[in-house]
Amino acid sequence: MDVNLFLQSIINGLVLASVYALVALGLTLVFGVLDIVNFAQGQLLLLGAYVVYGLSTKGVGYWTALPIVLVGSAALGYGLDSALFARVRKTPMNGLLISIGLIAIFGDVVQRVWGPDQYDVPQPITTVITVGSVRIPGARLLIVAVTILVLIALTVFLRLSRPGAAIRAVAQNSEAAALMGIPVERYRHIAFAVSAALASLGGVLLVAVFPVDPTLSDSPLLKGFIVLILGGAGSPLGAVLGALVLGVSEAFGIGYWSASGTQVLELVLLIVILYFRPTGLIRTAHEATL
Amino acid sequence: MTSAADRRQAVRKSGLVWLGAAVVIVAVGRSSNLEILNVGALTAIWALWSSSLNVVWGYGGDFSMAQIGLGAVGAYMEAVLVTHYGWPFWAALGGAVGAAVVVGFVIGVVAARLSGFYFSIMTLAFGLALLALVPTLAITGQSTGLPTNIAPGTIRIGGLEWNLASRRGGYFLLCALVLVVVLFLVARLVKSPRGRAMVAVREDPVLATSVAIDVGRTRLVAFVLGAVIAGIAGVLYGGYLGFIFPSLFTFSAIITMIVQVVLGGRGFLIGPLIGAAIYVVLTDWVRFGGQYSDGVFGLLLVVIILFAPKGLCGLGADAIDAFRRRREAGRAGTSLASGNQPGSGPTGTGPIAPASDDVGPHHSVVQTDGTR
Repeated sequence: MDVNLFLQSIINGLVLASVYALVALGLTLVFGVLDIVNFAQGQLLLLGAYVVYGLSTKGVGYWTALPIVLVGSAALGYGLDSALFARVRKTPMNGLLISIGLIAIFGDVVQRVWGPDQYDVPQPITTVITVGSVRIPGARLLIVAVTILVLIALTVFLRLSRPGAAIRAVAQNSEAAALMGIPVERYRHIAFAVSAALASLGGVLLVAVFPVDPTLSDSPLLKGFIVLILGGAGSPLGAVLGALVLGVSEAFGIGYWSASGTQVLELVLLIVILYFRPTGLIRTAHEATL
Repeated sequence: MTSAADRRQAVRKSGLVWLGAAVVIVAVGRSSNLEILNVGALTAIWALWSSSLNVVWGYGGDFSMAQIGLGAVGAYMEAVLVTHYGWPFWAALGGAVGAAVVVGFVIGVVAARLSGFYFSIMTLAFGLALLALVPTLAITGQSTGLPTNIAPGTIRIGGLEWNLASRRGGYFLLCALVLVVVLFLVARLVKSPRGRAMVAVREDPVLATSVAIDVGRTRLVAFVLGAVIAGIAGVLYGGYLGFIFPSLFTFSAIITMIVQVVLGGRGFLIGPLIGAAIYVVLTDWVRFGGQYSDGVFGLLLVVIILFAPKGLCGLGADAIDAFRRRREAGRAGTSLASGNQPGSGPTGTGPIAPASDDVGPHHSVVQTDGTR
């Protein structure tokens, strides 16, 4: 077996897994706390990617753009939830429909501002690490490293901080949380803001490796859903593990087989899991849920 | 509490509605304005396609995202049978509907185990898998596509004659007639026990089970019916364009369909028609929003969900209800015992098209915005 292709597939798989994990974590957070399936998650990713590109043409560097995009998308998420989704809390279906409307709106905004062309963003890291005969681009390692850092930070936030505890309380039982004096609505907005920031971070990381174009978000959104189902909706740990499984197997499928075949196979995988284990592959113990 | 006279009046009223529809269709069909004919045909096709979602979702309560994929199955099947195997149009239509039924049955059996958003994701996965698979087959012309070569023959009414494949009225007539027949059958279905069972399952599956409705089977039947309608719509869509290719059936087409159904009104017979008419007239005729019409309709979807989740038909029905209640209240002042008939009327446009005799003054139990 070709060692080079094997290692390359693992690295590519980890890169894919990182982006899928970020999208799926956002989806699972919003689903767990707000009962909403946010189809617009992919568009938030796309928006993040384009804003980094837009800022780069204005001379703003990658590392300056990163915090700007994160704060901006968190604010956007907070605003979207309080202005739109908060009004349809009683019927989650309507929340899903609003997110579908947002797909079309954001898609057009991106088209209007940047057009259908493909752009390259200046690479934040051009180093290439060579291990034996294998060349590993530093940017790919960066994606994986940043994602791991964010996962740790998110875990600490949800597990150890008071706002994190409040978000988990709202997810488990919003009525009880309200009775304990937690401002439930505000923490729902915050959960949505965090989710939006995670999605846009996925976009920011993607442009470090891939060019920006309007279809950039199509695959991550669908994969986000597959990961969400794979890991069990509402389970952050499941989302990360699901992303690892899907990302690495996808990279191997593309490396050793064919891209379109892998895509169909992933959809079949989603169907099979939904059929046999709609609550996810990993039995979500209480600890594993939000 | 309904007399035979009331029922006769209802029948006469709905007969008038269908007659009116026929007059409008023939009038438009005689028009020589190609633009009107094209807009009319496309409206009928989209109304049909969206009606397939309306049956599954508006009446049955399952939000399916596979309807575009099922329409693609119909369109491709017809094109392959006609172009590659030389089948006549009507036989190919049968084959296309058969294919849509088989695929719809498989999806329905698998997806009917799930409900809520899991059902939606399942149908989305199937729909996308279909759209990813179709172009990989050599016989579909892959990403290039293939011609549909539609030839449905001619129709004669009295001294008038239309070539149904013709852009000069014939194709519009074909689409409109198919739409009217399908809507008529859906209206019949909704008033039948099976249709009422569908609405009961939508409103409360547990309660429906308790009155001996087989929930799984009812949902499956609704889904397969939706597949039949989607298959027919796909064939007509392919015929309208003359040439089909994979990027016609993408996620944005799914969004278009959702916008039409929500805009017109979920669970109303003519909701999809109204939604489709607005969509087609604004995008294809007025070119409202230019190349950004997607965003405009996304905005419209958000606004409708926030302020009128029942859609335009819902707004209309509410207005009629309020008007009737006020009139009843006025009449009740003079004579208390007059027969009160709240509801959206017997013309077959109501959320479940309630005939006043079955639900009486309390029919609001089943009149909701059609969501779960």
